[in-house]
Amino acid sequence: MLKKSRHYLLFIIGLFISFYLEGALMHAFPYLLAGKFPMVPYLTVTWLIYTILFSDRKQNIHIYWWTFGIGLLYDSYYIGVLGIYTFIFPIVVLVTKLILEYVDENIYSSIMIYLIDIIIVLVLGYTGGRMSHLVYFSGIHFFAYAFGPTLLLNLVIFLVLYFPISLLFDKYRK
Amino acid sequence: MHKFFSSRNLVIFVVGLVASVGLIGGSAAVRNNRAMPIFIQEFGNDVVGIGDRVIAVPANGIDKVFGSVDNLINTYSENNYLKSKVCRLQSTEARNEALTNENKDLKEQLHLNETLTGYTAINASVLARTPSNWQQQIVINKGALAGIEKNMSVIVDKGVIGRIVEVNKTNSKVELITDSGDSASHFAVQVKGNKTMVNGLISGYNNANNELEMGNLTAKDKIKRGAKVTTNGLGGVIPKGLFIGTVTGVSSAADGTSEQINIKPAADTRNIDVVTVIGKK
Repeated sequence: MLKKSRHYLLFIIGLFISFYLEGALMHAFPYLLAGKFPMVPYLTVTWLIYTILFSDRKQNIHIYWWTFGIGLLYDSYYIGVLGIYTFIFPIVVLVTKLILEYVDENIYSSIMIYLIDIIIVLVLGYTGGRMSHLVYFSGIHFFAYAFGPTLLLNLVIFLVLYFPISLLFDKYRK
Repeated sequence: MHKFFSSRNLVIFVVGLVASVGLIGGSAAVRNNRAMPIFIQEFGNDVVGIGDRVIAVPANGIDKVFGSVDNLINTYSENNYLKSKVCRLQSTEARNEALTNENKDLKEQLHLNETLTGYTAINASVLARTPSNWQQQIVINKGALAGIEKNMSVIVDKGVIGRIVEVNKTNSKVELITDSGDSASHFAVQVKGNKTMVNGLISGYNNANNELEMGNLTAKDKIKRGAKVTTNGLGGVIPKGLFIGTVTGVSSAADGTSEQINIKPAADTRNIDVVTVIGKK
Protein backbone atom coordinates (compact mmCIF):
# COMPACT_ATOMS: atom_id res chain seq x y z
CA MET A 1 0.00 0.00 0.00
CA LEU A 2 2.87 2.31 0.90
CA LYS A 3 4.71 1.47 -2.32
CA LYS A 4 1.64 2.24 -4.35
CA SER A 5 1.24 5.67 -2.90
CA ARG A 6 4.94 6.37 -3.52
CA HIS A 7 4.65 5.67 -7.25
CA TYR A 8 1.49 7.73 -7.38
CA LEU A 9 3.21 10.63 -5.63
CA LEU A 10 6.27 10.40 -7.91
CA PHE A 11 4.01 10.65 -10.97
CA ILE A 12 2.20 13.74 -9.72
CA ILE A 13 5.28 15.60 -8.49
CA GLY A 14 7.05 14.90 -11.79
CA LEU A 15 3.98 16.02 -13.71
CA PHE A 16 3.93 19.44 -12.10
CA ILE A 17 7.71 19.91 -12.26
CA SER A 18 7.74 19.12 -15.98
CA PHE A 19 4.73 21.40 -16.51
CA TYR A 20 6.49 24.39 -14.94
CA LEU A 21 9.89 23.56 -16.43
CA GLU A 22 8.44 23.71 -19.93
CA GLY A 23 7.57 27.40 -19.62
CA ALA A 24 10.73 28.16 -17.65
CA LEU A 25 12.98 26.51 -20.26
CA MET A 26 11.26 28.40 -23.08
CA HIS A 27 11.96 31.59 -21.16
CA ALA A 28 15.54 30.67 -20.23
CA PHE A 29 16.74 29.64 -23.71
CA PRO A 30 14.81 31.89 -26.08
CA TYR A 31 17.42 32.07 -28.85
CA LEU A 32 17.59 28.31 -29.18
CA LEU A 33 13.91 27.53 -28.67
CA ALA A 34 12.08 30.54 -30.11
CA GLY A 35 14.51 31.53 -32.84
CA LYS A 36 14.49 30.78 -36.54
CA PHE A 37 13.52 27.18 -35.88
CA PRO A 38 10.87 27.26 -33.14
CA MET A 39 11.23 24.23 -30.91
CA VAL A 40 9.32 23.15 -27.85
CA PRO A 41 10.62 20.74 -25.23
CA TYR A 42 7.41 18.77 -24.59
CA LEU A 43 8.43 17.74 -21.09
CA THR A 44 4.89 17.12 -19.85
CA VAL A 45 4.15 14.69 -22.67
CA THR A 46 7.54 13.06 -22.13
CA TRP A 47 6.82 12.58 -18.44
CA LEU A 48 3.42 11.03 -19.21
CA ILE A 49 5.02 8.54 -21.56
CA TYR A 50 7.80 7.70 -19.07
CA THR A 51 5.12 7.07 -16.46
CA ILE A 52 3.22 4.69 -18.73
CA LEU A 53 6.43 2.88 -19.69
CA PHE A 54 8.05 2.58 -16.28
CA SER A 55 5.35 2.63 -13.61
CA ASP A 56 3.82 -0.54 -12.27
CA ARG A 57 1.00 -1.50 -14.67
CA LYS A 58 -1.03 -3.11 -11.90
CA GLN A 59 -1.31 0.11 -9.99
CA ASN A 60 -4.12 2.46 -10.84
CA ILE A 61 -2.74 5.98 -10.82
CA HIS A 62 -5.82 7.56 -12.49
CA ILE A 63 -3.61 8.64 -15.35
CA TYR A 64 -6.45 9.79 -17.61
CA TRP A 65 -7.87 12.16 -15.00
CA TRP A 66 -4.49 13.68 -14.18
CA THR A 67 -3.68 13.98 -17.88
CA PHE A 68 -6.97 15.72 -18.53
CA GLY A 69 -6.34 18.06 -15.58
CA ILE A 70 -2.80 19.00 -16.59
CA GLY A 71 -4.00 19.55 -20.17
CA LEU A 72 -6.63 21.96 -18.90
CA LEU A 73 -4.03 23.88 -16.86
CA TYR A 74 -1.67 23.89 -19.83
CA ASP A 75 -4.31 25.44 -22.07
CA SER A 76 -5.45 27.90 -19.47
CA TYR A 77 -2.07 29.09 -18.23
CA TYR A 78 0.13 28.91 -21.31
CA ILE A 79 -2.06 29.03 -24.40
CA GLY A 80 -5.10 31.05 -23.30
CA VAL A 81 -7.64 28.93 -25.18
CA LEU A 82 -9.12 25.81 -23.58
CA GLY A 83 -9.65 22.51 -25.33
CA ILE A 84 -6.45 22.04 -27.34
CA TYR A 85 -4.04 20.15 -25.10
CA THR A 86 -6.93 19.16 -22.82
CA PHE A 87 -7.86 16.79 -25.62
CA ILE A 88 -4.42 15.97 -27.04
CA PHE A 89 -2.74 14.80 -23.82
CA PRO A 90 -5.33 12.05 -23.10
CA ILE A 91 -5.11 10.95 -26.76
CA VAL A 92 -1.36 10.58 -26.38
CA VAL A 93 -1.87 8.41 -23.28
CA LEU A 94 -4.51 6.36 -25.10
CA VAL A 95 -2.30 5.79 -28.15
CA THR A 96 0.71 4.87 -26.01
CA LYS A 97 -1.27 2.33 -23.98
CA LEU A 98 -2.84 0.92 -27.12
CA ILE A 99 0.48 0.34 -28.87
CA LEU A 100 1.99 -1.18 -25.72
CA GLU A 101 -0.67 -3.87 -25.85
CA TYR A 102 0.79 -5.12 -29.13
CA VAL A 103 4.55 -4.56 -28.79
CA ASP A 104 7.02 -5.50 -26.09
CA GLU A 105 8.45 -2.63 -24.14
CA ASN A 106 12.13 -1.95 -24.81
CA ILE A 107 14.09 1.15 -25.73
CA TYR A 108 13.54 0.74 -29.49
CA SER A 109 9.80 0.33 -29.28
CA SER A 110 9.73 3.16 -26.73
CA ILE A 111 11.46 5.51 -29.20
CA MET A 112 8.98 4.52 -31.88
CA ILE A 113 6.02 5.14 -29.59
CA TYR A 114 7.51 8.43 -28.44
CA LEU A 115 7.98 9.71 -31.99
CA ILE A 116 4.41 8.78 -32.89
CA ASP A 117 3.17 10.64 -29.80
CA ILE A 118 5.18 13.79 -30.51
CA ILE A 119 3.93 13.81 -34.11
CA ILE A 120 0.37 13.57 -32.77
CA VAL A 121 1.03 16.47 -30.38
CA LEU A 122 2.57 18.61 -33.14
CA VAL A 123 -0.06 17.96 -35.80
CA LEU A 124 -3.13 18.11 -33.54
CA GLY A 125 -1.66 21.08 -31.63
CA TYR A 126 -1.20 23.01 -34.84
CA THR A 127 -4.72 22.08 -35.96
CA GLY A 128 -6.14 23.26 -32.64
CA GLY A 129 -4.21 26.52 -32.86
CA ARG A 130 -5.47 27.00 -36.38
CA MET A 131 -9.06 26.46 -35.23
CA SER A 132 -8.71 29.06 -32.49
CA HIS A 133 -7.08 31.55 -34.89
CA LEU A 134 -3.91 31.84 -32.83
CA VAL A 135 -1.40 30.54 -35.35
CA TYR A 136 1.11 32.96 -36.83
CA PHE A 137 2.84 30.29 -38.89
CA SER A 138 1.53 29.07 -42.21
CA GLY A 139 1.25 25.29 -42.52
CA ILE A 140 4.15 25.04 -44.95
CA HIS A 141 6.38 27.14 -42.71
CA PHE A 142 5.38 25.04 -39.73
CA PHE A 143 6.41 21.80 -41.41
CA ALA A 144 9.56 23.34 -42.89
CA TYR A 145 10.89 25.15 -39.83
CA ALA A 146 9.23 23.84 -36.67
CA PHE A 147 8.32 20.19 -37.22
CA GLY A 148 11.71 18.54 -37.76
CA PRO A 149 13.73 20.49 -35.17
CA THR A 150 11.06 19.95 -32.49
CA LEU A 151 10.98 16.23 -33.19
CA LEU A 152 14.77 16.04 -33.00
CA LEU A 153 15.02 18.07 -29.79
CA ASN A 154 12.40 15.94 -28.05
CA LEU A 155 14.04 12.73 -29.21
CA VAL A 156 17.33 13.88 -27.69
CA ILE A 157 15.60 14.81 -24.41
CA PHE A 158 13.83 11.44 -24.36
CA LEU A 159 17.05 9.48 -24.90
CA VAL A 160 19.09 11.49 -22.41
CA LEU A 161 16.51 11.10 -19.66
CA TYR A 162 15.42 7.53 -20.51
CA PHE A 163 17.76 5.64 -18.17
CA PRO A 164 17.81 8.13 -15.27
CA ILE A 165 14.01 8.21 -15.16
CA SER A 166 13.70 4.43 -15.46
CA LEU A 167 16.11 4.11 -12.50
CA LEU A 168 14.05 6.65 -10.59
CA PHE A 169 10.91 4.57 -11.09
CA ASP A 170 12.80 1.38 -10.19
CA LYS A 171 13.93 2.94 -6.94
CA TYR A 172 10.34 3.33 -5.83
CA ARG A 173 9.25 -0.11 -7.00
CA LYS A 174 8.86 -3.14 -4.77
CA MET B 1 -8.14 -4.15 -32.27
CA HIS B 2 -11.52 -4.78 -30.70
CA LYS B 3 -10.52 -2.89 -27.57
CA PHE B 4 -10.11 0.54 -29.10
CA PHE B 5 -13.25 0.31 -31.17
CA SER B 6 -15.40 -0.99 -28.36
CA SER B 7 -18.47 1.19 -28.25
CA ARG B 8 -17.68 2.62 -24.83
CA ASN B 9 -14.29 3.97 -25.90
CA LEU B 10 -15.71 5.27 -29.14
CA VAL B 11 -18.44 7.16 -27.30
CA ILE B 12 -15.89 8.71 -24.91
CA PHE B 13 -13.68 9.66 -27.86
CA VAL B 14 -16.47 11.34 -29.81
CA VAL B 15 -17.85 13.13 -26.76
CA GLY B 16 -14.31 14.32 -25.98
CA LEU B 17 -13.81 15.57 -29.52
CA VAL B 18 -17.09 17.47 -29.52
CA ALA B 19 -16.39 18.96 -26.08
CA SER B 20 -12.91 19.96 -27.19
CA VAL B 21 -14.13 21.76 -30.31
CA GLY B 22 -16.82 23.49 -28.24
CA LEU B 23 -14.28 24.57 -25.63
CA ILE B 24 -11.92 25.93 -28.29
CA GLY B 25 -14.68 27.94 -29.92
CA GLY B 26 -16.07 29.23 -26.63
CA SER B 27 -12.80 30.21 -25.02
CA ALA B 28 -11.43 31.77 -28.22
CA ALA B 29 -14.52 33.99 -28.30
CA VAL B 30 -14.04 34.88 -24.62
CA ARG B 31 -10.37 35.69 -25.27
CA ASN B 32 -11.22 38.05 -28.10
CA ASN B 33 -14.23 39.78 -26.62
CA ARG B 34 -13.94 39.91 -22.86
CA ALA B 35 -11.42 41.71 -20.71
CA MET B 36 -11.00 38.80 -18.30
CA PRO B 37 -11.41 35.05 -18.67
CA ILE B 38 -14.26 33.31 -16.85
CA PHE B 39 -13.82 33.27 -13.10
CA ILE B 40 -12.75 29.66 -12.67
CA GLN B 41 -10.10 29.94 -15.38
CA GLU B 42 -8.81 33.19 -13.91
CA PHE B 43 -8.60 31.60 -10.47
CA GLY B 44 -6.76 28.58 -11.87
CA ASN B 45 -4.27 30.80 -13.68
CA ASP B 46 -3.58 32.76 -10.50
CA VAL B 47 -2.92 29.57 -8.53
CA VAL B 48 -0.64 28.18 -11.25
CA GLY B 49 1.14 31.54 -11.39
CA ILE B 50 2.04 31.30 -7.71
CA GLY B 51 3.72 27.95 -8.36
CA ASP B 52 5.59 29.45 -11.28
CA ARG B 53 7.10 32.08 -9.01
CA VAL B 54 8.63 29.29 -6.90
CA ILE B 55 10.10 27.66 -10.01
CA ALA B 56 11.19 30.98 -11.50
CA VAL B 57 13.57 31.81 -8.62
CA PRO B 58 16.17 29.03 -9.27
CA ALA B 59 15.60 29.26 -13.04
CA ASN B 60 16.32 32.98 -13.06
CA GLY B 61 19.33 32.39 -10.81
CA ILE B 62 20.89 30.07 -13.40
CA ASP B 63 19.97 32.55 -16.11
CA LYS B 64 21.71 35.35 -14.19
CA VAL B 65 24.95 33.35 -13.83
CA PHE B 66 25.12 32.91 -17.63
CA GLY B 67 24.25 36.57 -18.06
CA SER B 68 27.00 37.72 -15.68
CA VAL B 69 29.70 35.73 -17.49
CA ASP B 70 28.48 37.11 -20.78
CA ASN B 71 28.55 40.67 -19.39
CA LEU B 72 32.08 40.23 -18.10
CA ILE B 73 33.33 39.26 -21.54
CA ASN B 74 31.59 42.19 -23.19
CA THR B 75 32.64 44.79 -20.63
CA TYR B 76 35.55 46.33 -22.51
CA SER B 77 33.84 46.95 -25.83
CA GLU B 78 30.67 48.02 -24.10
CA ASN B 79 32.55 50.53 -21.97
CA ASN B 80 34.11 52.16 -25.01
CA TYR B 81 30.76 52.41 -26.70
CA LEU B 82 29.06 53.83 -23.63
CA LYS B 83 31.77 56.47 -23.11
CA SER B 84 30.99 57.88 -26.50
CA LYS B 85 27.29 57.90 -25.65
CA VAL B 86 27.63 59.54 -22.23
CA CYS B 87 29.00 62.78 -23.67
CA ARG B 88 25.89 63.25 -25.71
CA LEU B 89 23.51 62.04 -23.02
CA GLN B 90 23.82 65.02 -20.69
CA SER B 91 23.11 67.58 -23.37
CA THR B 92 20.15 65.51 -24.56
CA GLU B 93 18.84 65.26 -21.01
CA ALA B 94 19.04 69.01 -20.47
CA ARG B 95 17.31 69.66 -23.75
CA ASN B 96 14.70 67.01 -22.93
CA GLU B 97 13.87 68.69 -19.66
CA ALA B 98 13.53 72.08 -21.32
CA LEU B 99 11.24 70.58 -23.95
CA THR B 100 9.15 68.75 -21.35
CA ASN B 101 8.63 71.98 -19.42
CA GLU B 102 7.79 73.90 -22.54
CA ASN B 103 5.38 71.16 -23.60
CA LYS B 104 3.68 71.29 -20.20
CA ASP B 105 3.31 75.07 -20.38
CA LEU B 106 1.91 74.94 -23.87
CA LYS B 107 -0.56 72.22 -22.91
CA GLU B 108 -1.74 74.31 -19.97
CA GLN B 109 -2.24 77.33 -22.20
CA LEU B 110 -4.29 75.27 -24.60
CA HIS B 111 -6.21 73.53 -21.77
CA LEU B 112 -5.07 70.31 -23.37
CA ASN B 113 -4.90 67.65 -20.70
CA GLU B 114 -4.96 64.48 -22.69
CA THR B 115 -2.73 64.03 -25.67
CA LEU B 116 -1.81 60.88 -27.44
CA THR B 117 1.71 60.84 -26.04
CA GLY B 118 0.72 60.79 -22.36
CA TYR B 119 0.70 57.39 -20.71
CA THR B 120 0.91 55.42 -17.46
CA ALA B 121 3.56 52.79 -16.89
CA ILE B 122 3.59 49.57 -14.83
CA ASN B 123 6.73 47.47 -14.49
CA ALA B 124 6.57 43.66 -14.49
CA SER B 125 8.88 40.70 -14.92
CA VAL B 126 8.39 37.64 -17.11
CA LEU B 127 7.30 34.35 -15.52
CA ALA B 128 7.26 32.03 -18.50
CA ARG B 129 7.06 31.82 -22.24
CA THR B 130 4.29 29.82 -23.92
CA PRO B 131 5.75 26.45 -24.93
CA SER B 132 4.31 26.47 -28.41
CA ASN B 133 5.83 26.70 -31.84
CA TRP B 134 2.88 28.39 -33.49
CA GLN B 135 2.24 31.12 -30.96
CA GLN B 136 4.44 33.82 -29.41
CA GLN B 137 3.23 34.69 -25.97
CA ILE B 138 4.71 35.37 -22.53
CA VAL B 139 3.24 35.40 -19.01
CA ILE B 140 4.12 38.36 -16.77
CA ASN B 141 3.79 38.66 -13.00
CA LYS B 142 1.38 41.61 -12.74
CA GLY B 143 -2.36 41.53 -13.28
CA ALA B 144 -5.59 43.35 -12.63
CA LEU B 145 -4.55 44.13 -9.03
CA ALA B 146 -1.62 46.19 -10.35
CA GLY B 147 -3.90 48.08 -12.73
CA ILE B 148 -3.24 46.16 -15.93
CA GLU B 149 -6.01 46.18 -18.52
CA LYS B 150 -6.57 44.30 -21.71
CA ASN B 151 -4.97 45.68 -24.90
CA MET B 152 -2.41 47.83 -23.08
CA SER B 153 0.87 47.88 -24.97
CA VAL B 154 4.01 46.32 -23.56
CA ILE B 155 7.49 47.72 -24.10
CA VAL B 156 11.06 47.03 -23.07
CA ASP B 157 13.65 49.81 -22.92
CA LYS B 158 14.22 49.75 -26.66
CA GLY B 159 10.75 49.48 -28.08
CA VAL B 160 7.35 47.84 -28.32
CA ILE B 161 7.19 44.09 -27.87
CA GLY B 162 3.46 43.39 -27.74
CA ARG B 163 0.10 43.89 -26.07
CA ILE B 164 -1.85 42.42 -23.18
CA VAL B 165 -4.33 39.75 -24.31
CA GLU B 166 -5.51 38.24 -21.04
CA VAL B 167 -5.64 39.69 -17.54
CA ASN B 168 -5.89 37.58 -14.39
CA LYS B 169 -5.73 38.93 -10.85
CA THR B 170 -1.98 38.45 -10.35
CA ASN B 171 -0.60 37.62 -13.79
CA SER B 172 -1.37 38.36 -17.40
CA LYS B 173 -0.51 37.18 -20.89
CA VAL B 174 1.32 39.25 -23.47
CA GLU B 175 0.98 38.53 -27.16
CA LEU B 176 4.25 39.51 -28.82
CA ILE B 177 4.29 41.91 -31.76
CA THR B 178 5.91 39.18 -33.82
CA ASP B 179 2.82 37.00 -33.40
CA SER B 180 0.78 37.80 -36.48
CA GLY B 181 -2.03 35.27 -36.10
CA ASP B 182 -5.53 35.97 -37.38
CA SER B 183 -6.74 37.30 -34.05
CA ALA B 184 -3.55 39.21 -33.26
CA SER B 185 -3.65 42.95 -32.85
CA HIS B 186 -2.23 44.82 -35.80
CA PHE B 187 -0.38 47.79 -34.36
CA ALA B 188 -1.17 51.10 -36.07
CA VAL B 189 2.17 52.65 -36.96
CA GLN B 190 3.67 55.51 -38.93
CA VAL B 191 6.94 56.32 -40.62
CA LYS B 192 8.18 59.57 -42.10
CA GLY B 193 8.56 59.50 -45.87
CA ASN B 194 10.18 62.08 -48.14
CA LYS B 195 7.08 64.27 -48.36
CA THR B 196 4.39 62.92 -46.07
CA MET B 197 3.84 60.76 -43.02
CA VAL B 198 3.00 57.20 -44.11
CA ASN B 199 0.56 55.36 -41.82
CA GLY B 200 0.01 51.63 -41.83
CA LEU B 201 -0.46 48.46 -39.83
CA ILE B 202 1.99 45.84 -38.64
CA SER B 203 0.57 43.10 -40.82
CA GLY B 204 2.98 40.23 -40.49
CA TYR B 205 6.27 38.82 -39.30
CA ASN B 206 8.99 37.09 -41.23
CA ASN B 207 10.41 34.51 -38.83
CA ALA B 208 13.30 33.50 -41.08
CA ASN B 209 15.05 36.88 -40.96
CA ASN B 210 13.30 38.36 -37.90
CA GLU B 211 11.60 41.27 -39.64
CA LEU B 212 8.18 42.85 -39.12
CA GLU B 213 6.07 43.70 -42.14
CA MET B 214 4.12 46.96 -42.36
CA GLY B 215 1.22 46.86 -44.75
CA ASN B 216 -2.03 48.74 -45.51
CA LEU B 217 0.01 51.86 -46.31
CA THR B 218 -1.96 55.09 -46.58
CA ALA B 219 0.38 56.95 -48.92
CA LYS B 220 2.92 56.17 -51.58
CA ASP B 221 6.19 57.84 -50.76
CA LYS B 222 9.89 57.14 -50.82
CA ILE B 223 11.02 55.79 -47.47
CA LYS B 224 14.67 55.82 -46.47
CA ARG B 225 16.42 52.83 -44.99
CA GLY B 226 16.90 53.34 -41.28
CA ALA B 227 13.82 55.56 -40.91
CA LYS B 228 12.20 55.15 -37.50
CA VAL B 229 8.79 53.50 -37.23
CA THR B 230 6.61 54.48 -34.25
CA THR B 231 3.02 53.88 -33.14
CA ASN B 232 0.66 56.59 -34.35
CA GLY B 233 -1.75 56.50 -31.41
CA LEU B 234 -4.82 55.96 -33.59
CA GLY B 235 -7.44 53.59 -32.24
CA GLY B 236 -7.33 51.38 -29.17
CA VAL B 237 -5.31 52.19 -26.07
CA ILE B 238 -1.83 52.37 -27.59
CA PRO B 239 -0.26 55.80 -27.06
CA LYS B 240 1.51 57.69 -29.80
CA GLY B 241 5.25 57.67 -30.26
CA LEU B 242 6.27 54.22 -29.01
CA PHE B 243 9.29 53.03 -30.96
CA ILE B 244 8.76 49.89 -33.07
CA GLY B 245 11.91 49.61 -35.16
CA THR B 246 13.87 50.83 -38.16
CA VAL B 247 13.11 50.37 -41.85
CA THR B 248 15.28 47.87 -43.71
CA GLY B 249 13.62 48.08 -47.09
CA VAL B 250 10.46 48.10 -49.15
CA SER B 251 9.19 45.07 -51.02
CA SER B 252 5.98 43.95 -52.67
CA ALA B 253 3.55 42.19 -50.37
CA ALA B 254 2.59 38.55 -50.66
CA ASP B 255 -0.52 39.42 -52.66
CA GLY B 256 1.67 41.08 -55.28
CA THR B 257 -0.45 44.21 -55.69
CA SER B 258 0.58 46.34 -52.74
CA GLU B 259 3.80 47.39 -51.09
CA GLN B 260 5.05 46.55 -47.66
CA ILE B 261 7.75 48.10 -45.54
CA ASN B 262 10.12 45.71 -43.80
CA ILE B 263 11.08 46.68 -40.28
CA LYS B 264 13.83 45.44 -38.01
CA PRO B 265 12.28 45.41 -34.51
CA ALA B 266 14.10 47.65 -32.04
CA ALA B 267 13.38 45.36 -29.10
CA ASP B 268 14.80 41.86 -29.02
CA THR B 269 11.55 39.91 -28.82
CA ARG B 270 13.41 36.65 -28.33
CA ASN B 271 14.98 37.59 -25.03
CA ILE B 272 12.68 39.39 -22.60
CA ASP B 273 13.11 39.51 -18.83
CA VAL B 274 11.55 42.75 -17.61
CA VAL B 275 8.80 44.69 -19.34
CA THR B 276 6.84 47.92 -18.89
CA VAL B 277 3.11 47.91 -19.51
CA ILE B 278 1.88 51.15 -21.01
CA GLY B 279 -1.68 52.50 -21.01
CA LYS B 280 -3.17 55.75 -22.24
CA LYS B 281 -3.67 58.26 -19.45
